[in-house]
Amino acid sequence: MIELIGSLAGEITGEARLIVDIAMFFGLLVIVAMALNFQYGNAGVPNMGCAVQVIVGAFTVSAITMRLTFWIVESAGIKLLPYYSDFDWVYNNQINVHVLVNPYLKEHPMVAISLLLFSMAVALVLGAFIGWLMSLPAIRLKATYLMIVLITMADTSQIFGRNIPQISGGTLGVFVPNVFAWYPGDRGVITAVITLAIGLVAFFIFRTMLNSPYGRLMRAIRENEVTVASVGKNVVGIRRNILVFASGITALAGVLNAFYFSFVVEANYQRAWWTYWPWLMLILGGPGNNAGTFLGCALVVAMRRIIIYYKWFFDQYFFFPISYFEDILLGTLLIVVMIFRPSGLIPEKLLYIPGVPYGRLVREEVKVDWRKAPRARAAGEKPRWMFWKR
Amino acid sequence: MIPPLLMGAIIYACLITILSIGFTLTYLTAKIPNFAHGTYAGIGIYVSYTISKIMGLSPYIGMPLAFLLGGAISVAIFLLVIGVLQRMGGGAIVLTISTLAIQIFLTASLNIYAFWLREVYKTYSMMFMLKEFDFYIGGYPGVFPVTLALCVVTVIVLHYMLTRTKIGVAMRATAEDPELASVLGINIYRVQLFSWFLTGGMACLAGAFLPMWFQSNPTTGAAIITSIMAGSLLGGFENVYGAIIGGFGVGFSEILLTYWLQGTIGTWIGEYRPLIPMFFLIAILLLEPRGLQGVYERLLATKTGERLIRMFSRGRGV
Amino acid sequence: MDWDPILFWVMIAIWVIMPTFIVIEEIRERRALAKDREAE
Repeated sequence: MIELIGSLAGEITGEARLIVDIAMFFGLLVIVAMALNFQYGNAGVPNMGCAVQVIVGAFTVSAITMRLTFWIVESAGIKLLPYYSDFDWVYNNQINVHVLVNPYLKEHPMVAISLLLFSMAVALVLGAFIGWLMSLPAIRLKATYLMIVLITMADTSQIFGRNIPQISGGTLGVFVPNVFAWYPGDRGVITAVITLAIGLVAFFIFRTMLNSPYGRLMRAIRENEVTVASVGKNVVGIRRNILVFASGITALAGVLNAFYFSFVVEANYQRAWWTYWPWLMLILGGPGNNAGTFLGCALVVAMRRIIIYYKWFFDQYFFFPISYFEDILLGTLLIVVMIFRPSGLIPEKLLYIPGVPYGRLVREEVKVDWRKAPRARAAGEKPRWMFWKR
Repeated sequence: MIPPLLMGAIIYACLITILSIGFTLTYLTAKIPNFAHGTYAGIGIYVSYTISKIMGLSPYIGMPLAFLLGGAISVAIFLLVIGVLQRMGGGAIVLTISTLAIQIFLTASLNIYAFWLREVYKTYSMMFMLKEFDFYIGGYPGVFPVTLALCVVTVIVLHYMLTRTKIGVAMRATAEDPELASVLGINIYRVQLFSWFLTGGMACLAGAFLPMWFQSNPTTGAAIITSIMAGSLLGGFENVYGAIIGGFGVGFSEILLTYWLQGTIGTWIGEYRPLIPMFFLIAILLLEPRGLQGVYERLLATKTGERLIRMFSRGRGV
Repeated sequence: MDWDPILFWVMIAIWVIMPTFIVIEEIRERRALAKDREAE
């Protein structure tokens, strides 16, 4: 890769492209996975609706930012094709964005950057609002009800996106203005840098919250809600706040995803990609600590990208499309990790509170080994083939 | 002559009811919602398809096969995944996530199977309807009376089994308090095996009827889980008889409400059909999380309820 | 001037900072925990 420093003219290609790709997706999914770790790993709120939160961010870009951009560009004097009716919104979109808006953004980098910041701010607010909406029906009830509601909500948001063209172009999708048009090189690399930078900032935010008394409160709620409620804390309100906060940050990932592809269509935000894979990362790496989330994310992203990159190799052995194989891998890995290593690759360490005599407080650590679990028949007994007979 | 819309609504409602009853039974035995329940129906769909399109026989012959296959896969899942995790002491969330993983796995396997069928037999297996393989009784397609009869028979047999037979009472006892049941001498392992076999088989059987009226593709099973959960939740998550009412309610409203809304507001609202069960879900959870059973119990606790109880029990000589 | 390679290495730098920071912190905390446990 040393030759990159010297001879790059425009686009990054080849191996370096793969690295930029991996970095970008890692950055996006690490934001989602860290927010998920914040909710489930630390507070015990199983958020199965990550896809909704990400989609809200993407819809912010495609619905609000685009209209704002069009308004700015028109008031600067450039004439755009009409975009008010549904038909024009989708069909004139490509010309509008590529031919007319992007050169404008190229000359006015300040406008472009402020659009990016605006999208992120609005996505934070809208994401928080969606988090509040999602928490309304089921946050008071048991965790299983919450999971049921959130999973169905992910499907719903896709339906809304598919059928309302004003949001994101229905089934066809809309192109989004390229806020990095002023950058003279490859768009992928600068988006990856910005995504990783935001990931770093989010990591520090989460780390601060987790190491604070609020983090201890979250872990206490995860362990035993009744005790915390008996002390006087408003458990339901705290869980709602956690969901709202994490939703806001997850929406940022949606915004960055939209700007990376420069294209928003609701089929990109299926719940398999944005909910199940982050859950796999979380459980694989170890719920409860950020290190585990990182490791899980790195492993899973590397695995997926390598599978896609070496598709030609796999096509010789599997006669079916690779996406089904990825799904099977997802299901199998999830079950295997939960059976053989339920606390993940990096188990959560116990809390460190400076000054507290720690060893005296916690004497024993319970570990469950399923090989020593009580059996249905004693050791040495032969298996009965007709096991339904007494 | 019953209009096809009403026939379709009745068939759909019957199938959803059978699936909701199975879902509620699974929740009673294993204390977790089984997200893979709809996928069993998906397996049933493909059994029907294989038997009718590939082997050329009538799909009704495949019904017992569907039941056995569904039961076998369900028992295998219990033995390999759920049983192991339960013995390890996994909580409800871990078990639910595992059922979700199973759903992903099964849906991908169904996709692969459909793909393989398409490659080997050169038939279009990704989206199909098997209406032409049906027989006709007095002008009605055979699916209609068969499904209705199946639903009624299922309800009656289940009621009889749960209240009169030994295994049914054992199931109820295990659902309420497993430790006490094992003290009384009930083999919990056997009871759980039986209940997983039963629910898997029922779900697969219900799924085998689906492609004969409705269009199906490999992901129909996964998409139908929302309606199943709404039906189960409507009647009260832990009440089998409530699941019957819930299943019929959700099944009917999904089709009839869509039709009515399309007539009044416009055809574009047909796309929002999956929102109806979700709307039921959220409404139930907001108003009364225990569904109709909770409403029933609340009613019994009021003055009117007490009067009703006195009225009905006086006739029994209490 | 060609920004691409610079940004590429910046990206790799950030990508390396985060795990390094996490690893250093984890090691520091686990060492403090072990020391605390021994001090009992």
